[in-house]
Amino acid sequence: MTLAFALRGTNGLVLGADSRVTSLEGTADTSTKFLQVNREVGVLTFGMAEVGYKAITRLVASDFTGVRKKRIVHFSEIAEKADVIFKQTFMDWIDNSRKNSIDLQPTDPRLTTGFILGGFDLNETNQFKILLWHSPNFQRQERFEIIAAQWIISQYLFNHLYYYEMNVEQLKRLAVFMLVETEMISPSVGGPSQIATVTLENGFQRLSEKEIQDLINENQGRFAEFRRILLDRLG
Amino acid sequence: MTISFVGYEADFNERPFYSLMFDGQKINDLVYPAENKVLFSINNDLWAYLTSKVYSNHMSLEKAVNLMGYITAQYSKIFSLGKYVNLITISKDGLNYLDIERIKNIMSNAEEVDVYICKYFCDFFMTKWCK
Repeated sequence: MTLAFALRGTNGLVLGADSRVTSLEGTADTSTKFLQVNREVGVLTFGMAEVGYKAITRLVASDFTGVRKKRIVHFSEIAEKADVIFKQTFMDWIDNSRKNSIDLQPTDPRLTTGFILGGFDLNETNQFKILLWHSPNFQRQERFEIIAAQWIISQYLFNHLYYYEMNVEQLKRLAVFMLVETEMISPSVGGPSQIATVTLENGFQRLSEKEIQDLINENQGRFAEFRRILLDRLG
Repeated sequence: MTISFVGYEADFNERPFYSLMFDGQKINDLVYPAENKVLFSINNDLWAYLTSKVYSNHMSLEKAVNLMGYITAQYSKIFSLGKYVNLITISKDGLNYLDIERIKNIMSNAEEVDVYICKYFCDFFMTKWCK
């Protein structure tokens, strides 16, 4: 499946996902699950990798981005475009499959596909926003935070380790902690972690592999201490 | 030798849900011994995660019951499951439904563990965290 999430801190957002894709042939850790839309906004996908990547690529390539037309693009405009693109890409894939005599229903849980748009709405509300779309209806939902797909272990950790006053630096460590702990159990989550931050001063910034590895190394003591406390209280 | 049985069954319609304990088997492969029925599981990742950290075959039935109570409480919170919980053990003494008072104590302990974890790790991701 995957793990994808958007976390909110006092000074920005942290977006994260793994890179594993699972198919009938096996798994591969080659999937790109999120892209930068513009300076302040990123988009993630979870579920069906082929459909998801196609949809987020279409969104990023849309002619509203402002890079080609040199105009300010509102967060709401990106969201409205996403409303159309995500559902259309998913339904196009379903229709193509049916043409190849594969009878698929959009409600089939094996075809679950979702998207998270996270960023700063610089031009209208001046707020950080997190939006979710999910098959089969792709009804847009605004959320405070989202943990999606193979989410239950991360939700448990989030419930116990997160608080509203955390800043982006702390959230980065939590993001890596959640990804590593989920990978440990869930075979459909793994591969290089993909993490980005969205802040006022720097906009959307993807963390490098070295930065992520440094965070994993920094978290080694935390992994051990978490295990120790659970053993102490429950073992 | 005591055999403890770890498993999970959930019902979304506000009816009691059952936590069973069985040693060493995946939840989805479990068979309810009395009725020969396959147990349904929402998602066993969290069960697998917490038992990987804490559970061992050498654990006493008492500790395994407390662990299962804690895991049950987490599922209940995350999925907003049924109000009532049953905990059942199987040992060489047979199948045993825990009484309501014992279950209340186990769930109360689970809540205390949760509060302790939240307090202990309240600064877990600060730069200078070191215990």
